[in-house]
Amino acid sequence: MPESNNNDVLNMNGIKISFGGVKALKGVNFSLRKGEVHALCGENGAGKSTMIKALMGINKLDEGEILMDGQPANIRNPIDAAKKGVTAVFQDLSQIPTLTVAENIYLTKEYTKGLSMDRAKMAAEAQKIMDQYGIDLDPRAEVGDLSMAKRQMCEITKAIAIQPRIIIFDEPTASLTTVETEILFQIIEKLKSSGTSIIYITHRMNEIFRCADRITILRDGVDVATCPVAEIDLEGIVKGMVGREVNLFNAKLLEKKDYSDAPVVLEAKNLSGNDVQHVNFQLKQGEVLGFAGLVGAGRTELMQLIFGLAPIREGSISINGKEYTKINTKQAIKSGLAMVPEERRNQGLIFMHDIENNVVLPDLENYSSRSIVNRKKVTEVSKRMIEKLNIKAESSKMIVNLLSGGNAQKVVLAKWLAMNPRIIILDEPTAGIDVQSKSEIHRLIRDLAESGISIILISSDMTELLNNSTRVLIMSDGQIIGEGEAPTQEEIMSTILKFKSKTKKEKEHV
Amino acid sequence: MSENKIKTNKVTDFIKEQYAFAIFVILILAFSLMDARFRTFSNFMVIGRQATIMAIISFGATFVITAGEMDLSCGAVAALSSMVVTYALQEDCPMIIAILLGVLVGLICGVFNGVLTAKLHMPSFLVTLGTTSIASGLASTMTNNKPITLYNTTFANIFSKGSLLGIPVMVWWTLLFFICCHFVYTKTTFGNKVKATGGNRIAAKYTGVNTDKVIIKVMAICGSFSGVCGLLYTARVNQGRPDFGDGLGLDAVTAVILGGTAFTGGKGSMFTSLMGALILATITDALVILGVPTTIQTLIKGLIILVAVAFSVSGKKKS
Repeated sequence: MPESNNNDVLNMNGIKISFGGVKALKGVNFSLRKGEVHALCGENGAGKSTMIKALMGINKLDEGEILMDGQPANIRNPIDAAKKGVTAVFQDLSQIPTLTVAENIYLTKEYTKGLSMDRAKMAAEAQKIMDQYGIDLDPRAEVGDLSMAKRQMCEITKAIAIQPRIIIFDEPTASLTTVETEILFQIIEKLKSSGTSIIYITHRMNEIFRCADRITILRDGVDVATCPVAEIDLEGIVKGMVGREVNLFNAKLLEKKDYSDAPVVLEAKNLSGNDVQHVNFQLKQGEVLGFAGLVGAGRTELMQLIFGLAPIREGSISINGKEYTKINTKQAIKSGLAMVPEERRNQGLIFMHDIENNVVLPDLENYSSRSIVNRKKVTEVSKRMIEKLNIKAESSKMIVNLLSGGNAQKVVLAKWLAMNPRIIILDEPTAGIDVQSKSEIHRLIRDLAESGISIILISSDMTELLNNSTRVLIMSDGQIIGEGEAPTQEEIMSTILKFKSKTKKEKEHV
Repeated sequence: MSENKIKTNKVTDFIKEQYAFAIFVILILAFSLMDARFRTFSNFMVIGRQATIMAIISFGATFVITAGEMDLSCGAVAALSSMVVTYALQEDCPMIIAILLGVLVGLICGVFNGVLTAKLHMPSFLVTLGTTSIASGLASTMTNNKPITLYNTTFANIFSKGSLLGIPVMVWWTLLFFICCHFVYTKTTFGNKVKATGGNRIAAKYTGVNTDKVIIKVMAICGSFSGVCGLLYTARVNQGRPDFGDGLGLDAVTAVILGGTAFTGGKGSMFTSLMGALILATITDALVILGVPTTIQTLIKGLIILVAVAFSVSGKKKS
C-alpha cells in the first residue's frame, strides 16, 4: 500500500525486479523522510542490495516506480544518482588504492589551475570537510597504504563531499574500530540535523537501536514490516527477518568445564614477529579461547605466525608437544591445525570454483591415488559436509560465487572440517553473515568444542566473543595485555584503553 | 604536524623512484670502470640516441599499463609508420604531410586497439597481438617485403642526424616527450583518470570516470607515439623497413616494468620508465663496446634485466 507523505524525499512503490526468472524483489514499498535515519534489515538474499542497486540505477525495474519529492526520479546510473543527490557508501570499498585520499574524494570533480590539478586546494578542501565531521585522515596519504577502517572513513568522506540529500550506508561498521564507529554515529547525527536522509543497512542489531529512527524489514523480496524503531525490539526484528522465532539468547551456552587437567594442544612461548611481540599462551583440549581487541591489535598477525604464513622472529610454538621455531603452513596443517581466515573472498575460497573443489583443496592427496583425483570420493565428502553444515546450495557442483555470504563461510568451514583438524582458528567467522547462519556457526563452535576440538576465536563482535569463549585473552599493539574467564565488555574495553594511554605516555616520554 | 607528514611522503616517494635511477647510475659507473671507450661524452650521446625510440614508446606504454591494459603492437605499428612515411616522401609528398601521415597511421592503429578493447571487451593483450600481425603484414605487402631508401636530408636532420647546442636532436626529442608526458601523467585530471581506471575500474566507473574513453585515449596515445618512433627510426637508418620493430613492443614493456611501474596498473612514473629505457640502452651499448658477440649479448642482456628487476622489486618491498 503505497502511501505518500509531504516529508518524504524518496518513495519506492511496488518495486519488482527479477534476474533470469528468479524474482529478487516481489513488490517492495519503501519511503524515506527528510532528515531521518531509516534502517534496512533482512537476511542475506532478502533483497536489500537489489533494492539499493535499483535506487542507484544499477538494476533496472521490471515494475514499480521510484519517486523523489513526489516526482519520477528516473535514475539511470550511479553517476546520475550522484547528480540527483543520492550516494552510497558500499561495503566492498569502491576506491582507487593508488590515488591519495583527496584525489579519491574529488575524482572527476577535481579543482584545477590552468591545465594542471590544484592538489593543494583539493587537500585543503578535503581537510575542511574532515575537520567539520571529526574525521582523522591525512588527505595526502595513498589510500592503498591505509588500514581498512581508514579506507572506510575515506569512502564516507567521499560520499559526504558531494553534499547529498540521501546517503546509503551498506554495513558501514564492518571494518571500523570502536572509536571510528563512534565517529560515524556523530557524522550521522550531523548529517541528520542538516536535513540529509540516510538509509542504513546493517546486521548489527545494536546499531539500529543506536542511530535509526525507523526500520524496514525485508524478507524474500517483500517488505514485511516498517515501523519506528521505538516500537520494535530485537526479537521482533529477528522474527521479521527470519519469519519465525529464533532462539537467540536461550541458546545453550558452552558448558564451561575445568580445563586445568586437559592436555595443552597449542602453546606459544615468547612468540615474536609479524608485528607481534613476546606472546605467551596455552590452548587446552576442548577450549574455545577468545581473542579480544580492537581492529589492528595484532590478533590476525598472531594467527598468521602460528599458521606459518609469516616468519617467526623469536620464540616458538608447540603443537601437541612438538616444538617449532620455524613452521610453514603445510607443517601446521599436518599437525592438525586449520584456519578460517578473516577475508573470505581473498583468503578463504577460490570463488570461481565449485563447492567440491574448494572443500577438498587442502587435502587433495587424500582424495587421489597416484595423482589422479577420485571424483566419486570428492562428491561424497562434499555432500556429507553440505548436509552437516546445512549449506544451502543446489548441488555440490554449485559455483561458490553464487552462494550467499553465510553459505560461502560454511564452505570455508567445510573445507577445513573435512580434514578432521584438532585445532581450528576462526578469524571473524561471522562478519557480514545473516543471523540464521550466524547462530548455526555458533552452535557448530560449541559442538566442535564438546567433541574435543580446540578452537581459537577472533571476533570484533564482543557479544559473540564473550558468549562463545571459555576463556578470553585481550590483545593490543601486538601483545597480550589481559586474560579472563568471563570478562565483561566494559572490563575488556577499559583494559585496552588503560594500556593504550599508558603506552602513549611512554612514547611521549621517549 | 601535517607539514611533516607531507615532507616524509615526498622523501619516500623520491626513494622509491631512486631504485631505477640507482641501477642506471651503477651500470654507468661499472661500465665506465671496465672500459675507457665507454666513459666519453660522445658514447653517452650514443646511449641517449639509442634510448630515444624505446623511451618514447615506453612513455606511451606507461599510460597503457597504468590504465591496466597492455600494448604489444608498438613495434609493428612503428614499422608500418616508417614504411608509410618513406613511401610518401619518395612520392614527393610535402614533408609535413608525410610526417602527419606517419603519426596518423599510429593513431589509427591505437584507436583500433582501444575500441576493440574498451567497447568489445576483448583482452588488450590479444587485440594488440592481432594488430601486430596486421600492421607488419601491411608494412611488408607495401613493397613486397623490401626496405625503401630515404633521400630527404631535412627529414633525417630533424628527426635524427641533426644536433642543437651540441646535443643530438634525438636526445631533445626524448626530453620533449618526457616533459609533456610527465606533466600529463602527474599534474592533469586525465592522469588521475588513467590511474583510477587501472587502480579499480569498477570504482572509477561508479565515480563517473568514462573508463572506455580513457582506455581508447591511452591506446591512441601509445599508437601515435609508435608512429613518431617510426619517423625517428626512418630518419636514423635512412630507410623505411617493414621488419624494424620486431620485439620493440616487449622491450618497451620491459623498460616500463623494470623502471617500477606497477604491472597490475594504477600507478607508475614517466621518470622510472625513462630510466628503464636508459638501462636497456646502456646494457646494449656496453656489450657492443666490450666486443661481446651478438649471440652472447642477448643472453647477458636477459640476465642483467632479471637482476635489475629483482633489485627493483626487493627495493619496493622495503620502502
